[in-house]
Amino acid sequence: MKLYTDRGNFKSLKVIAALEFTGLSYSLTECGLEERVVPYLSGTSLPVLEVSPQRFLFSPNTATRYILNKKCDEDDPNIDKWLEWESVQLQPYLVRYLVSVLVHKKPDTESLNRLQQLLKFLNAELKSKSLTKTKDCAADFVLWASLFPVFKGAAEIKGWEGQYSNIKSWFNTINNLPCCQTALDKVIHGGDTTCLKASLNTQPVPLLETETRQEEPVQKSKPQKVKMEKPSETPTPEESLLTKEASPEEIQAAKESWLTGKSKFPKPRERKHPILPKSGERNLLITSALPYVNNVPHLGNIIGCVLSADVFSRYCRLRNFNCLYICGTDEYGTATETKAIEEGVTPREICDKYNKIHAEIYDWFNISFDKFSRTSIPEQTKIAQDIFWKLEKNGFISRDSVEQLQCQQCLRFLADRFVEGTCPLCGFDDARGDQCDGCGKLLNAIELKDPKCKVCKGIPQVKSSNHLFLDLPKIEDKLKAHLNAQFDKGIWTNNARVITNSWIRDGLKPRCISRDLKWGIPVPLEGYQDKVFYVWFDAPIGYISATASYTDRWEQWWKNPKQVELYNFLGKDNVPFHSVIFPCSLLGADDNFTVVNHMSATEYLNYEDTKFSKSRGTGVFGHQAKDTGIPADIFRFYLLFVRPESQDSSFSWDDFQLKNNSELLNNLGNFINRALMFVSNSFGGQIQEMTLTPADFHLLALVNRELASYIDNMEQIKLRDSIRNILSISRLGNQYMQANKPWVLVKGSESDKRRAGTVVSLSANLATLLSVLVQPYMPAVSDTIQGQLRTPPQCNVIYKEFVCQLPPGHKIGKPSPLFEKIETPKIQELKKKFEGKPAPQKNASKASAGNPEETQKLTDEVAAQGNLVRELKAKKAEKAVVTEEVAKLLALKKKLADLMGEPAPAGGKQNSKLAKKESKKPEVSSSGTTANGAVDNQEVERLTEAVSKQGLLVRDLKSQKAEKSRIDSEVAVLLDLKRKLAVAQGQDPEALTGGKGKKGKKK
Amino acid sequence: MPIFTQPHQVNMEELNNLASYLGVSSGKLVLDAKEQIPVLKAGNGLTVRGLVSVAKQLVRQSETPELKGTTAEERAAIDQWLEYRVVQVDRSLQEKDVSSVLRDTNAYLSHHVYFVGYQPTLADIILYLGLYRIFEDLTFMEKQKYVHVCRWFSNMQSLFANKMSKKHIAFQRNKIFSGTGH
Repeated sequence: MKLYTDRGNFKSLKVIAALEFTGLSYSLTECGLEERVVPYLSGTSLPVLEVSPQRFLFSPNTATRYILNKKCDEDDPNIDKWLEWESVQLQPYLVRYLVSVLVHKKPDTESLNRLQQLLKFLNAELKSKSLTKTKDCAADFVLWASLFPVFKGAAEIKGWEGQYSNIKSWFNTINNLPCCQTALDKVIHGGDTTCLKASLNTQPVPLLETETRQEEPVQKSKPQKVKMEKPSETPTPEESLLTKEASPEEIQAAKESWLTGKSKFPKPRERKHPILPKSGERNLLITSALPYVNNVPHLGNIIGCVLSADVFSRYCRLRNFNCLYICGTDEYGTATETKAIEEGVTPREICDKYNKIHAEIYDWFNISFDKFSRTSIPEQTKIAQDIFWKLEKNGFISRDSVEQLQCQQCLRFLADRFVEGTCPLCGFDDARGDQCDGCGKLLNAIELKDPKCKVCKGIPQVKSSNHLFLDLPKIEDKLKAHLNAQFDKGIWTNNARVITNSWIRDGLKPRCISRDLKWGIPVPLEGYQDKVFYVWFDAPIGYISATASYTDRWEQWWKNPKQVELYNFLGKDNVPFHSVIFPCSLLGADDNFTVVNHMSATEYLNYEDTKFSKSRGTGVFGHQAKDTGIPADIFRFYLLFVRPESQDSSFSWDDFQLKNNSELLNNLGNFINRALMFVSNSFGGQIQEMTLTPADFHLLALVNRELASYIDNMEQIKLRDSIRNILSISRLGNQYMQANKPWVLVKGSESDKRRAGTVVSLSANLATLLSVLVQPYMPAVSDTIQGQLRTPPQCNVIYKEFVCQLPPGHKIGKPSPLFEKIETPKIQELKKKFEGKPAPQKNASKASAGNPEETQKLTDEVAAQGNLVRELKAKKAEKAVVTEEVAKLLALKKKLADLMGEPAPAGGKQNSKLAKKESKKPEVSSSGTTANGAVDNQEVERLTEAVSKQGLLVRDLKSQKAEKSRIDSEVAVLLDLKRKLAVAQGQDPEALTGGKGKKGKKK
Repeated sequence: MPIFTQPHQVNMEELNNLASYLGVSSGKLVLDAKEQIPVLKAGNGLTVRGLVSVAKQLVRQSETPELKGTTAEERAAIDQWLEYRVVQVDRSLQEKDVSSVLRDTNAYLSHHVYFVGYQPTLADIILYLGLYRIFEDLTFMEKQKYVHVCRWFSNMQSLFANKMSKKHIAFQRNKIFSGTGH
C-alpha cells in the first residue's frame, strides 16, 4: 500500500499509526501541498491511500479502518458512529480552530466553543473508559489523531486535562502506543505542531452544515481556491447582504474608524521620478512579460501580462508602496529577421514600426508603465554581455558543436525557419525547417530532403557550428535554494509552481544561448563573434535594461535582493524562462542580482469558443478595441472580471454585455449615480450632518469586511476576487438606500429629513471609497466619479478601514451617469465583426471559382515583378527605388490573393506555392473531405472512435506514470488523429492544435 | 442560491424510505432535536447516531446486508462514498461547492458504472438521495455538461425513485447544446 501525503498533515497521523500498528508493509510518498493524487478529484485532498494501483481511499478515516480490518476484521456499528461523528461534527470546528491558531495566530472563539461542547459530549460517552468494545480500533486512532494537535503543542486547549478526565485517560493510553509515537515522529517532528501550518493552510477546510463561506469574517477565511471560472455567474439580486451578521468588535472598530479614522489616514505619497528603493520600506519591482515586437497583441495577451501588472502596480501606488512598473518590447531574434526580409526592410525598421503600435495600444488601454522600453537599446547589449562575461568567468558557460545547415551563397548558418525542402516524413515538398505544413510534424532542419535556403534558393550544406551553452545543471543547486525560499514566502500561482517544479524534476540540461543570426546582441567571446545571443537569453535582461534606461541608478533596483521584491507577471507559456533560465543566468553571474520573488502566471484567454487567431481575423486585437466605441475601462473591467487566474477562461460578447449592464450599469453605476443625484437634487449638492444609527454602523462593519478582503485578495494577486469585493460594497450601498428609502424620508418630518441627509451623505462617502477601490481597474471611471464628487486628492489612498472623507458642508459637482447600456444589436454587430473567417481551407474552393485566365496573368506579373525586385536588391539599388518596386509587388500579390480568396500574403514566391497547394488538395480529400467540401460521415465516425480510443490509452499511460518518451509518442499519434478528424469534419485543424500547420501561408 | 430544504428533514424522510425499501422497521428512529441528527435505537442497548451509521445499521438488519459491501475493499470503498455524501454533498450549498461535487462525481463515473463494484450498493442509494436536491435544480445545459453522473443518476432513479417516493427528474437523451465543449 502506498500513502501519499503532504508534509505536516495531521490527518496522516491516524493512517500511519494504523499502518504501524498492523505492521503491514507500505510506502510513504511525500507530495507537494496542492498535488492532486486522485485523478477524479479536482481539489486537493491529502492524505490518500492507494490500496492497489489506481484504487484510492481519499478519506483518511476509511483508510484507517480499512488498514486495521486487514489485520482483524470487524463490522461494528459503534465504529461507524464514531467515525461519522469525527468527520461530520468534530472536523469542521477542529480544523477551523487549528487554522485560526496556527495560521492566523488569532484563536477563533466560536470554533473553540463548539469544540468544548463536542469534547464534553465525548467525555460523557467515555465514562466506560473506551469508545467501543474493540480495543485499539479505528475510532481510537481517528479520534486520537484529530485531538492530538489541540491537546499538545502550540494549539493546546489550556486546561483540557482537568476538564475532561475521561478523555485524558483514554487519550494517554492511545498516545503511548508505540505505533502512535512512530506516526508522530513522521508527521510532527519533535512534537512542534506549528509545522502543521502549511498543510492546514492549503488543504480544504471541511464545510459546515449551514455555513456560507463569505459570511466568515476575513481574518478567519483562508484563501479559497476559485474552483470554477464560469464567465456568467450572476449574483441573485434578492439576496440581502445587509442582514449578514457583524460581531460587536467589528462594529466598534467600524465606528471608531468612521469617527476618528481620518486623523490616522495616511497622505498619498508623491511619486517623484526616478523612483528608487528606500530602506525600511516595501520596494516592489513589477515587471510584465515583454511582448514580442512583431505581433499585434490581442485581448488575451493584454490581460495575460500588461493589464494584470498594471492593476497590481496601481494598487501598490494607492497603498503608498514604493513601486516601479516596467515593460518593453522584445525585439531580437529570428522572427523579426524573417519578417524584415519578407517586407524588404531592416529589422530595426520593423521594430520601430511595431514598437510604436504596441505603445499606442497600451496607451489606449491606460497602462501606466513607469517605463516602456525596448530590448534593442545599447544598455541591453552592455548588460547582457556583462552577465555573459560573469557567467563565463564563473565557469557556467560550456561549448559544444551543433550540426546545422549553412548556405554557401549567403555565407551563413541558416536558422530552421530559413530552410525549405521536402518533408522526410510525408514527402510534402514545401516543408519548412522547423515544421512541415503538409503533415504538421515538427522537424529538424538537417532532416529535410533537398534543403534550400529560403533567401537565395541556394543549396545549404550540413556543417557543424560551435555554440555556447548555459550550464544549467551546475547552477541547479543555487536555483533550488532560491526557489525553495521563494515558494515558501512568495506569492506564486499554482501553475507557476507546477511548471517550474516539473522542469526541475525532469532534470536541467545545458541550454544553447547562441544563434547564427545577425539581428541580436553580438556574442563578445572570441571565436563566436559572428553569432548573437538566443533571444530567450537576452529577453528577460530587457527588464534590467529598461530600468537602466529609466535611471542610471538602476543597480539600486537590480542589485539589491535584500530590499527589493521582484514581481513577474506573465502568461504560463513563459514560466520556465522566468523561473528557471533567467534566475540561473542571474544566480550564475553571482553579482548580487535581484531574482524573482513572486510570480503571477495566467492561463489562456479564449475568444468565444475558439482561439484568437490573427490569420483568420478571429477575436479582438489591441488596435481594434478602440474602434468598437466602447471605452477602454469597460474592456479593462471585463478582462479582469474573467481573468484566467486558475483555469482558461473566455472572452464572450454576450457575457461582456451582461457584465456591463448588470454589474457596472445596474449595480456600481446605479448606486453612485443615485447617491449623488439625491445629494444634488434634495440637498443642494451639499453633504449633510451625519448622525449614524447602529444600523449604519452595522453597514460600515460589513463594508470594512469587504475592504479587508479586497486588500487581502490584492496582496495575493487575486485580481478577480477584488473586483467582487468592490461590487459587493456597491451592492451593500444599493441595499442600504433601498432599506432606508431617502426619497420617502425627504418628504417627511424635520427629523425624517435629517435622516435622509445622513443616508445620502453616508452613501456619497461610500461612493468616494468606491472611486478609490475602482481606480486600479478603471482609472478613467475613477477620475469621473471623483470629479463629480469633487473629492479631495488626499482620499486617494487605500486604507484598511472606511473613513469619512466628505465632511458635512462639502459641495459636490454635477452628477451624470457613469456607464452606458450596451444594446443587443451592438453586441451582434461586434460578434459578427470579430468572428473572422471560419476556416482557411475553404479558400481553395473559391480559387477554382475565380477566373483562371486572370489568375494566370496576375501570377505571371507577380513573378516578373518579384524578379525585378530581387535584381534591384542584388544590385544594391537605391532604397527608395527598391521600396517603390516592393510596394508594387505587394499590391500585385494582394490582388492575386483577393482573386484566390486568400489572406493577403506578405512574402515571396507565391506562384510556386499556390501551384503546390492545388496539387495538395486530393490528399486532403482522401482523409474525409470530398472535393466539394462535404463531410464523409463514415470517415468521421471511424476517426472519432480512433481519437477516443487513443485518448484513453494516453490517459492510462499518464496515470500509470509511463515513460515520458512513450507518452509523447502516443500523444503525437493522438494529435495527428485529431487533426485528421478536424479535416474530415471540414474544420480547421489549426484551431485544435494551436497554430500549427497553416503558418506558412501567411508569409 | 436557491433555498434548499434543510438537509436533516430530508434525512429523516429518506431513512424511513430506506427502511421500508429494505423491509426493516424504522420504528425506533428519532431525530435528536438539539443536534438535528437521526438516532436509531437498534436494541441490545445499541444506539446509532448519524445518517451514514443509521443507514448502514438498517442494511445490517435487513436481508440484503451485501448492500454495504462484502469484502474489506468493497466496504471501505462504500464507506468513503457514504462519508463523501455527508461531509461534501450535504454541505455544498454554494454554487462553487456544488460544481465541484458534480465535477468530481462526473469524473469518477466516467470510468465506473456504479460507485463501487458492478452492482448498486448502499453508496449508490445514499448518493442518489443526497444528490437529488442538486439534480432538481440543474438546467439541461448543465446536465449535458455532467453527462456521466447524469447517466448514473438516471439509472439510479429507474431503480429507486418509486421505492423511495422520489419524483423522476427529466434527462435529455441527445446533446441539445452545441459548442459547450462537452
